[in-house]
Amino acid sequence: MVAISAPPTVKAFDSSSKQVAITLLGFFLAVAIILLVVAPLAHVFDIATREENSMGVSEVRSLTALVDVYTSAEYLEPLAHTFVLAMVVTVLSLLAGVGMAVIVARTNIPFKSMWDLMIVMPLFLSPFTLLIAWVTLAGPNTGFLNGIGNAIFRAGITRPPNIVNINTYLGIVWVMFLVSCPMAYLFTIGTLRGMDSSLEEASRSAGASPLRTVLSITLPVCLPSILSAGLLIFVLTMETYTIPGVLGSAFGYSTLPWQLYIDSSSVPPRLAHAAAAGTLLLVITGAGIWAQRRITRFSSRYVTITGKSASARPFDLGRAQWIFTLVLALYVGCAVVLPLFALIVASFLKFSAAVPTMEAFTTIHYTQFFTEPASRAALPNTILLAVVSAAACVALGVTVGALDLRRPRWWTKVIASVGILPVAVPGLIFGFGILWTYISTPLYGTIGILLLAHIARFIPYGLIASRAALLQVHPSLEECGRMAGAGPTRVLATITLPLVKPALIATLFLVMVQSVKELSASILLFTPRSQVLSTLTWQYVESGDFQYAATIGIIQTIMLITMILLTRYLLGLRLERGIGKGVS
Amino acid sequence: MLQRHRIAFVLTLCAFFMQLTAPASAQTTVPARLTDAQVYELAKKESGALLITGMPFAVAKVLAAEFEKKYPGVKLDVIYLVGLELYQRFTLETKNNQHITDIMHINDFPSMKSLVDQGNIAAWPVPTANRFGKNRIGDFAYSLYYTDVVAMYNETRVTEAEAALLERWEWSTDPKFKDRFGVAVQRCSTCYAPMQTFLDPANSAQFGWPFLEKIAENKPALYRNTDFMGDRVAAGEKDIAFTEAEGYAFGQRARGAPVRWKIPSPAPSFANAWIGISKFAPHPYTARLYLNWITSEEGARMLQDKYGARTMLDGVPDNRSITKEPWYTKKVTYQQVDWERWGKEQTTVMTKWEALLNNRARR
Repeated sequence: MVAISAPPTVKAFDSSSKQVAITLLGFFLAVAIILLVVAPLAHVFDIATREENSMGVSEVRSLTALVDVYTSAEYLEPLAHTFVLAMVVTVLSLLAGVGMAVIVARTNIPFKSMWDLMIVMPLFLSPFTLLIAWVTLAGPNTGFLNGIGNAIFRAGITRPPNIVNINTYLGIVWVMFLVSCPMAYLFTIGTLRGMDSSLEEASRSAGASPLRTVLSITLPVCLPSILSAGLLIFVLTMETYTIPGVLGSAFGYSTLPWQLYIDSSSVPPRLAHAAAAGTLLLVITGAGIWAQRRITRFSSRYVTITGKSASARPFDLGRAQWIFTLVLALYVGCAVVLPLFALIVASFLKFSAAVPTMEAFTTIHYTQFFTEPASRAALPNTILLAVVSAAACVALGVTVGALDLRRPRWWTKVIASVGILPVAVPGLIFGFGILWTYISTPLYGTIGILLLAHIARFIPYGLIASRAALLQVHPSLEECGRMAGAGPTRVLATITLPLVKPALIATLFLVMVQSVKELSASILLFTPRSQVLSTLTWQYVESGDFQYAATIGIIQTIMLITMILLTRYLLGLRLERGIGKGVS
Repeated sequence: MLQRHRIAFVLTLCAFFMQLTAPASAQTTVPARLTDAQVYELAKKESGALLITGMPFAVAKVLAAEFEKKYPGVKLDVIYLVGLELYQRFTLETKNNQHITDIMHINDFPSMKSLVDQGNIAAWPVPTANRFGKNRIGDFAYSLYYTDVVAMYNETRVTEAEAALLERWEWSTDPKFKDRFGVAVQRCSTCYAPMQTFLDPANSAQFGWPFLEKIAENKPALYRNTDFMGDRVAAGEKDIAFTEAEGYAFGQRARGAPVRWKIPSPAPSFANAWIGISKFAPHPYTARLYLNWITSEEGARMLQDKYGARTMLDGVPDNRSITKEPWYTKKVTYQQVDWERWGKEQTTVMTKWEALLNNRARR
């Protein structure tokens, strides 16, 4: 275990004008958090305590929905399913994600830069697009994998049994694992890259094997990052409804978020029940967030940016490096190559086909995308929303983080804690909260309401990542600046921000990626003027046109890769590397 | 160079914030009677109307494009939202004076009836109003086409002899089709309408709950909705989709998918797709022009050609190309749905049916 003392809080002399400035800033942040987080959540609680009628909720107060959701098997059974699924997916994702992070960050594996990009690439696909890809690949009787496998191994057999079947519990776990694994990688790779390898060298000198060194030195150093990743994956799995809902329908399996989706979209609507289920998830994931904050506080003992230089010498894998390369290639093959292949093929098909003939191929979806006004509007809207909401989340995150860590007060802790809550509420329910809060304002019907929803939904990313980044800067560096006569603003601008700049840019990119994929809230708030790629995809998926949806998925992936490459060539920043630094 | 980038960035931000604060349109008083030419002239002055529809998105967009082609200078945007989502959104917007939607095309009679009763739909007697018979709610809403429930099958996996059996609902309990068909676990009208037929007291000897239990015992694959099920049948994952809307099946075949369908008797045919204009439509003339067009003979023919549905408009012959196919069901016994019973029983029946299917699937 690394023995590093907790960094002292910077003691600063606050003049009265600075106090006023901080108070004003605090007031602004409090108002922002109330508008973005508290008001929508209050509406969710409000709806949860209303009586339902045939077309929605009435004005009459009732606790029926809350009592039903918190006590009946109809909700507690799906809750138990959700909990178990989230645990399984979290453990598997951590094992694979952290394992890959150790291989890439701490060994001399070749093509590191390529692995960095490839391992995080599943993040670029929305869960629904990844689901379409895997249904295309592993659907019973039809999936490409079944088709190819049967053609090779079972030629001549009429109606051969399935080699793989995605419509199973294992299928749900598999797709959810692929969605979550990059998160585990991202959260740990930064810490692993930044750690001082002398600790590992000391272990090796004392006769420890590479595996033992990793288990007893490397992993404990990034334990807070691993646990933080685990909590976030757990929370995100708890709120995902599409994958378990679609695949689980085949065998009568349901999760709480799916139940909540059905309640809010079926006739008759059970909006109060859906809102009450949202509060139940908030309670459970709220406990996880509390634990995450405790861990983040603990992680201040693991400062990695200090005045002392640290070297990161990798393990020499020797001949074993090809085995590990094969392991990474296997993951990339399953998580990136196969789904992208399936999506590319699907995007060129007129209809779904297990073994498409030449007549089934078409380029019409791409032509349509670039000629239709709705699609043409969706692309710039998506980029604009992603950039502006990401910038706002990072700015808010840094401001709250800097205040909470460097000038802690009771209200900074409250703002930082409340700001994280949206991650604990399913997006659909939070979207309803935003809708109910802002429907009577001029923002409704404009792209502004989507911007507000995206900032509100992703502000937790800004807060968590900025806090983690700031924690890694030892305050002694800032103290040096202050002793040299610089004011707090100058210290922040010339010392702190430059040190955390890569992390902040990376967080910016992470939020942009999440914003591009956001659907749950957007679907309730979009209009033709504020159409985005995710809502466009949803409309095609819901009306049965999966090929067009696949086309949008491919365009979305190309757009994100282009953004990465442009940033690399124009600004010299490697976003895919920075992400790890940003969120660790 | 950098300066130019900054200017471009600032201009983009300005454009963005201008869009944020774009004002909403005010309500316009529309004369009760106007000729098509007059409506068209007034529509050209509007900036473009919004149609929210539960019809397949791609088809609705094709129809909107045909409308725009017929009336140059008029613009119609389309959003796809289904039944309840559409209803909830529209009522919430109206209650809060957010008048964004111009035309509502909703696949649910009770919802449209409720909107009319609430006074949210404008009266607009289309020129062909009298040719809609009972399939209109006063001058407020019109049902454009019948929703025919079909058993859609993959022609590469079902023989002609087997397909012939699909013209009676009993096929679904035949061991021949065990584990070969799919059922959507969804509360949609295409899913419920056959249930009403099976549970009609007049049909109790033939169907009833024992019949539904036999279907569940025949091991159907369960899907989250009819469209997803239809896509999977087209791909060959299962051979038959238990219930699909004929328009959906038509769309799959039009794209080239190897699917055909039969209309099982007694067929629950019903007026499901209701269209009306928001009383507070921000683009009232474009909305009225579209309603006139889609309820006209030309609109009816367009619905036949592009969506493959039987149109409601009296006097328009059923000229759909598929009806001339040799495999198409020639003789159907239709049974009208009972809307009163629909309202009373749908939730209870579908809850029980879903439980039956889910319990069987878990075994």
